[in-house]
Amino acid sequence: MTTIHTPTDAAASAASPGAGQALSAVASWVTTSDHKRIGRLFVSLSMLMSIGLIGLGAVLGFDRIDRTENFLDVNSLGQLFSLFRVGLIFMAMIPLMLGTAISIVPMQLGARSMTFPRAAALGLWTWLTGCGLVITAYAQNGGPGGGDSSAVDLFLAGLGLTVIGLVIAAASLASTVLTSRAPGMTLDRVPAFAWSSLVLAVAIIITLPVMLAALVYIYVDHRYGGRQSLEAGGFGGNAIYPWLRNALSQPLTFIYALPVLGFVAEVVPVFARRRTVLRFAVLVGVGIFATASLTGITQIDHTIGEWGSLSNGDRFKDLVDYAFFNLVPILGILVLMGAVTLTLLTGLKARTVRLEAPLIFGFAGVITLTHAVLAHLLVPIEDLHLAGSVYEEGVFTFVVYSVLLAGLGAVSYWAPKFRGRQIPRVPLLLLALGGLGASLLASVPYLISGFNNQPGLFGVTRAESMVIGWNHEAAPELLNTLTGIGHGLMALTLLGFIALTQRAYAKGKSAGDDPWNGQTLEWATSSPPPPNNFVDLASVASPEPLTDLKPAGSDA
Amino acid sequence: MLALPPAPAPAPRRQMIVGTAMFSAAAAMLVGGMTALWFHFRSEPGLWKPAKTVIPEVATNVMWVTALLALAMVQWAVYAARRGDRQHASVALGITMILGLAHLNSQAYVWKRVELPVRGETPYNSMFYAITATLFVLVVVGVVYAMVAAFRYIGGRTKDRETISGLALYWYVLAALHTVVWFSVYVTK
Repeated sequence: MTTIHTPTDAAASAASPGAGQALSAVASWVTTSDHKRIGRLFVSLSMLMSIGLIGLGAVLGFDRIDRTENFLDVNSLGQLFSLFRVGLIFMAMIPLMLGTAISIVPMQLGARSMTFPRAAALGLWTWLTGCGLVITAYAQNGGPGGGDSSAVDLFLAGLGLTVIGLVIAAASLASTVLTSRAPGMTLDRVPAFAWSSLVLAVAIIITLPVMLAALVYIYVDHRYGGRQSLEAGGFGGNAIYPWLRNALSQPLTFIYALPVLGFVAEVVPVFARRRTVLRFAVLVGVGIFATASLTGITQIDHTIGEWGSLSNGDRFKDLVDYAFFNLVPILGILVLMGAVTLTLLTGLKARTVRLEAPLIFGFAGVITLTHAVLAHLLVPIEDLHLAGSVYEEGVFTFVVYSVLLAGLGAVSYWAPKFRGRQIPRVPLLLLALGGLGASLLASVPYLISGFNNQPGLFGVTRAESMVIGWNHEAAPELLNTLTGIGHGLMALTLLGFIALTQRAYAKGKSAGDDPWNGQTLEWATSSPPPPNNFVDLASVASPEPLTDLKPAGSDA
Repeated sequence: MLALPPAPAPAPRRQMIVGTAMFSAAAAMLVGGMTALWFHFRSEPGLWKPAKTVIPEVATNVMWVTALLALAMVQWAVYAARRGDRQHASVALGITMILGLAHLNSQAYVWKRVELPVRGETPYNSMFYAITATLFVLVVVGVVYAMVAAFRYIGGRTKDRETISGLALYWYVLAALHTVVWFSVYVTK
């Protein structure tokens, strides 16, 4: 396959000097329809917002150390926590994964562009405008349960725009995978990351509009119906808010972590220098995980009631519900990780495995996600009284950090395709291990505190609710301190990663077109790729088209 | 850089149809979610429609029939475009647009006639406007889509039948969604 060697950034910088050059560079980014730039904007912006939000998580963690001497105003506590939760999902998790996919997946498919690139750009700017409105609304005492009615309206409108932007970008991504594959690349031959991105995009298209439906009702009622606050009366509090909250809770948040599985299934065969063993199981594993989590939108209540008060029939019904919504996602992970582990074992047996940072990031993401899914198993058991405690926050933190870790891994793995440079190996390895430690530190103490009945902030929209019933005895200082430190470490990991990446982009060594000895089509083009990715369309005859061309015996 | 074997010309990609299907799926989930919430509230006693409110049923039924007629027109456009009949395809697309505008006009008429303030004693008032306005916006998208398809076709892209097929798919979904809203909001109330 031949390509045009025209690095886009170099061409742009050669256009005109001085202020005009800066202006034209900004204009070219704002008006771009290049999927690589759109994806990079999603990734960069979501990383920047992640740092702020995780820093906020650290502040919230430290504030809980001693409730008698808290430094955050109790009235702003609920607002800050809802910003932490809403922000991490809609400003960090989803855009980070969506952005990586928009950047890379078209190249993996052998496509010259993504389908509807201008729609993807529209999605990006709509999302960013929505994020800006949401943050502005919080700054003006908006958000759920906010004191300023106009700011609450602004929050609802902003969140609606954010959701619309993500849905538009997801529709563009899904259309790309379904229509723009290279000749010969049937759906069962698409790379694992592209497959998980397709499932994520479809899941976003299916789930987020349901949340938008609740938002539209709440907005119209709040803005024009004259209700004073979302939780007042029967409208917002009793019936609508749970629908909104559903999109922010487990098991639905597991869906947003789908590309974590796709990413690890993508990098393990590359670094083991083997073809994926039981590749079909990888695709099925992603599908099982997604389907089980997706069905979470069909009903909110899938708990096991208080065992002693249930009849045998009700026990059976609860157990079936519980098993479907909570055990089946684990089956998906097991199926996928089974295939990935077999691939790794074949590499270990042949002594071809390379220990690289993207692999460690990928495993850190999967370990964290598996912890989240396993820890969530206990939440629906009402006898344990974990719902509403900090335990749920621990699970949520696990999910979010699994996505962040895999996201960092993805950026380091595809850095050659982003900017043509390689990120130094050793600092990256340290950051990967630090990130894994930070995620465990930020989450595990909350899981323990949950069993001590420390109340959480999930679902709380009124500040007083966080104070009423507060049991100081149930808030061990050490555990809350550890959580605060964990969030702080994760913020530092992100900052370190960004600094390292920027330094590598500026002064790093050239990566070469295929530095990892890759298996999929993005490694068949130059680093960084030309504007249209490829000059000639390639013909694909297997899921690992580049492996087919490499010397026999190397198997990769 | 590795050289993969060059590929033959790719098969038709049907991007417009797949893209429209994705957008339609999102629209269906949006309206589906709103309808589910509508029935959820409707089932709660003491929360629902004010006794004095009268829905102008003739106008709402005409609106529904208009949506079905638009569906017939857009299917006619697909049929004509497939046969290369530019004149009939253009007429069908034009009528689809006009019927879409008529649908919007009917909705505005219903809002005027129903004499229901947005601010009410129960959530019914605001929910009524939220769900009907959402459908209104989706119909506006359908009209704009028809306009774009018509301009492209009349402008000479007569072989671009995929856009017209995508438009037809969207109007099928729109008609189905309108039927759901019509039944929920105007028939069972």
